[in-house]
Amino acid sequence: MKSIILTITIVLAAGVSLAQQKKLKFHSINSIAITGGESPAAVAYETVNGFGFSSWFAGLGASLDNYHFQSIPVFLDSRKYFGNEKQLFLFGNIGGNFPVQKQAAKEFSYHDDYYFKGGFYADAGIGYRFPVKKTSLVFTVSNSYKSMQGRSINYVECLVAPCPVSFKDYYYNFYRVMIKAGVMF
Amino acid sequence: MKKVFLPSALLIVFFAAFFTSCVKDTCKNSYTYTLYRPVYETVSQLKANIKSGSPEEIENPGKIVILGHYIFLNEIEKGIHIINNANPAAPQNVSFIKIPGNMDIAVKGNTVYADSYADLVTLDVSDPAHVALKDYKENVLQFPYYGGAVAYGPQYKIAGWEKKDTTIVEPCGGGGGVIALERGIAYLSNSGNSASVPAANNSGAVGTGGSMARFAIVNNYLYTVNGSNLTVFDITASNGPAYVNSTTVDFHVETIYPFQDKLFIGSNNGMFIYSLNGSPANPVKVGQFTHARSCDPVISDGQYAYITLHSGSSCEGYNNELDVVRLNMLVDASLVQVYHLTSPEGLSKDGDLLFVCDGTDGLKVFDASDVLNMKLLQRLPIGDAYDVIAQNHIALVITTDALYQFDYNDPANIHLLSKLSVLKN
Repeated sequence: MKSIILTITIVLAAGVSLAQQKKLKFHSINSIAITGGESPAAVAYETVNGFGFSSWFAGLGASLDNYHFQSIPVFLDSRKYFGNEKQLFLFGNIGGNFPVQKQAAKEFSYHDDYYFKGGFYADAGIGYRFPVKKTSLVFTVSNSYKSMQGRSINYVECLVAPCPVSFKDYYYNFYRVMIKAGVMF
Repeated sequence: MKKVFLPSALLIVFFAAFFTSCVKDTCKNSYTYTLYRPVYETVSQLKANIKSGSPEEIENPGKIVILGHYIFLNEIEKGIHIINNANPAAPQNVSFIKIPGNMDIAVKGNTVYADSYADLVTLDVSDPAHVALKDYKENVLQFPYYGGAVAYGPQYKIAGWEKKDTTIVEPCGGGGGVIALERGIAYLSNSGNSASVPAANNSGAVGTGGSMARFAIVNNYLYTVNGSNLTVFDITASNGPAYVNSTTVDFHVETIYPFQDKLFIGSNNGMFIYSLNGSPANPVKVGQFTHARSCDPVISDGQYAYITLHSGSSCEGYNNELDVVRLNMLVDASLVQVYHLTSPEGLSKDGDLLFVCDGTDGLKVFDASDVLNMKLLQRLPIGDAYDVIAQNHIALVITTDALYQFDYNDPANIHLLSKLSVLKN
């Protein structure tokens, strides 16, 4: 996680530095996504903000991901545009996935306590940009991955305190398809 | 535009089809558990192994009994430490009696009565360095439960437990079917010296047990509570106790405290008073006090009974309090005051001083001269205190990590006499 934060900081610092030299152009891409997989489809909201340079784009993104467990992925986004019009592109995201709820509601399971921890986030796919006046409509399809951890804690009853406590760790991995539609400024 | 759009759209459709073949949600869980596997011995093997040996580390201390200058300290499910306490400032761990499944102790004279799972063991401890098995009665007590299951057979007894740590990784919902337990095990530094062990020589005196005790001796009878029963043994004969009878008291009876000719029995649901007057072999219920469901050791000074309720155990319940109950003729019981505490367990009273083990708050000492308005004199932060015996101006306190002795000659200046420190594992 420290390395992710360090990388983000370096990228942003480099971006700001280059933007000041007017070699970069700032863009904000805000999308809504449908996420589908083995779990029921869910909606996600995503914003990516960064800088374009030549046929490349790099930025920092975050989203509210409602697939299976609600979480907030925070990631680095990079895109490579193809063709003279720079409309078709490939992109990749990599970062961390953070749970919205740290502690599960009691009805989630029979466990005495259940805590969530974050995991990994990645998203890679292909997209197409339609220029509309000074903005663009952006559509992408991608394969997305997010992981999370959970820990259940059972307080075992006993006659003589302190009573034993048992733990069970859960590792969730979600491989799913994301289709996004957004606006790029 | 059109030149680019069509191949791009086809490419996107192709990738979409490709991506959808990769969708999958997986879940794995892992858990590390300590598996305790019983080691069985035949009854004859087990009886042959019940004997004193060199002092051992105190790992998991339980109940305590004091008689003369000896402390009998239960090592939960393993046996009894005999500690020479002739000098409370420097107690000496002199020997260890291996008794599998031992949880409770009672002492009279030079005889120790101890449970071994459902069996009752009688030992001659006149020479603590050479303890002799006097009697062994099988299946006269209720067998303890382990994770909801009773593990014993008619020909074999559990002599010990093999401990094994294991980590299992399996798909979620796989259901390992294994009870995941972690027992806190602590190690006590052993400064004992068995080179010179004086004889116990306590003649017919009865040892003082803590408030968490399930064994009590009054005159020539041993009273035990476990499960839902009060069981009586006649210990008049020197060759071993004789089973007399067993009476159902209440669901989940926990503790027994003898006072004069009465037995105060704590259960999940209340306190029961049994009279021994005229019929010590057949205790008669003469009074009771019911409270919210909880664990509740009880003591009495004749005028009042003091009951602690605590949550967080198999007794269930949510109360953490000290109840003071007025006794009329040691029969009628009525609640007169409630003091809210952290997680109170064992307690002891000497004169106007009331000592309460209050979980992680340690030991609390109250001025109980006015039971309606008891004043906290001192809190001794000694960790998770479990039980206490206060007599002769020395409070012996057992915690999960040490055996403490405090001098309370001056209640305003209660000070530590000795501490057998525990090494956490």
